[in-house]
Amino acid sequence: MEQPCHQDIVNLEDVCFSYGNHQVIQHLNFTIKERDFVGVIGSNGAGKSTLLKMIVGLIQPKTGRVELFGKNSAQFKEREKIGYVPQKNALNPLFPATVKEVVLSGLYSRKKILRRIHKQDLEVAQDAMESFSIEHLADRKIGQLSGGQQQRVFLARAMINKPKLLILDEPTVGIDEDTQRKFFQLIQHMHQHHDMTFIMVSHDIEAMHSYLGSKPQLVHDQILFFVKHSHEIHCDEITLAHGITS
Amino acid sequence: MDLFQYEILQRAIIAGVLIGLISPLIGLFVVLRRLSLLGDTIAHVSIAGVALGLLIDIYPLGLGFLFAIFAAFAIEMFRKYYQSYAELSIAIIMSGGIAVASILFTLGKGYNINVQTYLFGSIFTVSMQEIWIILAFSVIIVLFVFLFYKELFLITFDEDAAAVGGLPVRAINFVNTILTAFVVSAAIKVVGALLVSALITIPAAAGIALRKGFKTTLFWTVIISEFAIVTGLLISWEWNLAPNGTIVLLLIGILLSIMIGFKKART
Ligand SMILES: Nc1ncnc2c1ncn2[C@@H]1O[C@H](COP(=O)(O)OP(=O)(O)OP(=O)(O)O)[C@@H](O)[C@H]1O
Ligand SMILES: [Mg+2]
Ligand SMILES: [Zn+2]
Ligand SMILES: [Zn+2]
Repeated sequence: MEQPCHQDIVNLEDVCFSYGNHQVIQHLNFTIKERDFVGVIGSNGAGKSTLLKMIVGLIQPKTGRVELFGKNSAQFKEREKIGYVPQKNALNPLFPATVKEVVLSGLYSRKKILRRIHKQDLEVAQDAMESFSIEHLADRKIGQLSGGQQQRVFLARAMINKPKLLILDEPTVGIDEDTQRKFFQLIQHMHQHHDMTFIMVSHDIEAMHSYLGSKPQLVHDQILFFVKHSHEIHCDEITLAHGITS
Repeated sequence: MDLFQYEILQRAIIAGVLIGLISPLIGLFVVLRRLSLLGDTIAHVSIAGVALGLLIDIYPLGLGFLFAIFAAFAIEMFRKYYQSYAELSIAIIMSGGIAVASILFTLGKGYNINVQTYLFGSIFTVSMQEIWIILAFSVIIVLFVFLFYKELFLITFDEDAAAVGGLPVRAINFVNTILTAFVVSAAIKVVGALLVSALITIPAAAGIALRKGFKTTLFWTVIISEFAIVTGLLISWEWNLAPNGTIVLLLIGILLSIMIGFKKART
């Protein structure tokens, strides 16, 4: 049953995008509602990452409109409501930053400009690190971690704000199977009990099917959208602490 | 040491300490944004301004500062155009600056001794008025880094994440470049245009070589810079050496010891 409280989170209206004259997305119309879990599947080069970059505002559509939370994407200011984990982070191994500093930087959105870091911010960062079992790496340099460990750091950073909308571009690539399974459990839990909306690109078709069913809601060129809607209400205070533990 | 000499040394150390603070404070961000030659480029354009000042007899460092600001604007403009090829904008402005400077210098033959002062610096002639200007620049830079530390960190570490978070990435990068022009203008007096870049990049390089987190690196970068400048000034004063060369060699010495120290520690 559709309830009035389920607002539009992402609204794509006749969106087209091209790199030069290489058309990537053509006339896409799609609406994502509050508490939807949208799985995006498609072959390499289909335009999945491009689509996510357009949704988060890193690139602008050539024509058409992108709306976030009912507002034109360029006018949408509550950026802390969005978490984004890009496909791969071009990380310079020498960059002087600890895991803790990187996770904490997930809080540094527009809203926090000119605000100091408080003790409770540090506690939230600790929670986020615990959710992804990286608290023992807190003081290690990010460039010295393994690929999978780095990916956990970026996931923790994206989750730290408890975003309303979490956008994940192949988040589990390079992560060991056990952590992958637990990560899926965590985001399913967040989806069902914590009022979060997800857009996730994955090549793990099996995992996507088992949670989202095998019938896509929309097939657009080579991109398939699978959607599951959650009606369940919050089970508890929103914390990240019941996360992945190994 | 008589009173007059003591005053000269005192002024030099005050100017040195201020510049030792602001160069690495801006420099670490510049280096991590892969713009290591930014300072050098601005310095070359600034020298064109100094040459013009000498030619038409207007306060050379003032014109040098105006040219430095102009260079910063131009670099940001080209950077936007070439996007990920940031170093291209630097190459263009750098050669432009040298071209203008060389023409102006040949026009103003006979100023060679004056020119040397700006190419190699002359910290022992720093005036009280210049110290006040350097102090004003320092206050602006320290405030900027203090107020926008978080944003500077995120933009430097992951520009995309900063943009998604709604941070004014372009504006902050722009201010950072402009403040680099401030640092260059202040530091020309100390080490000269030819070695300004060393104060901006070598402490950062040494700090990064320590392999610490960001805050710790920033802290040590400042310490290394201050140590080299103050020690360099005292040594050059005592043994009558060129202060700029002494300072830069000390910086390189520190960088090498850190790198060798880590190599030893690993084996
Ligand atoms: N920066 C860019 N400049 C030019 N073309 C690009 C750029 N990024 C992507 N493309 C092109 O756009 C198309 C879509 O790329 P995109 O990265 O969105 O694919 P994808 O569906 O995410 O693929 P994958 O499964 O490999 O991650 C590809 O044909 C690619 O070559
Ligand atoms: Mg992709
Ligand atoms: Zn519903
Ligand atoms: Zn819960």
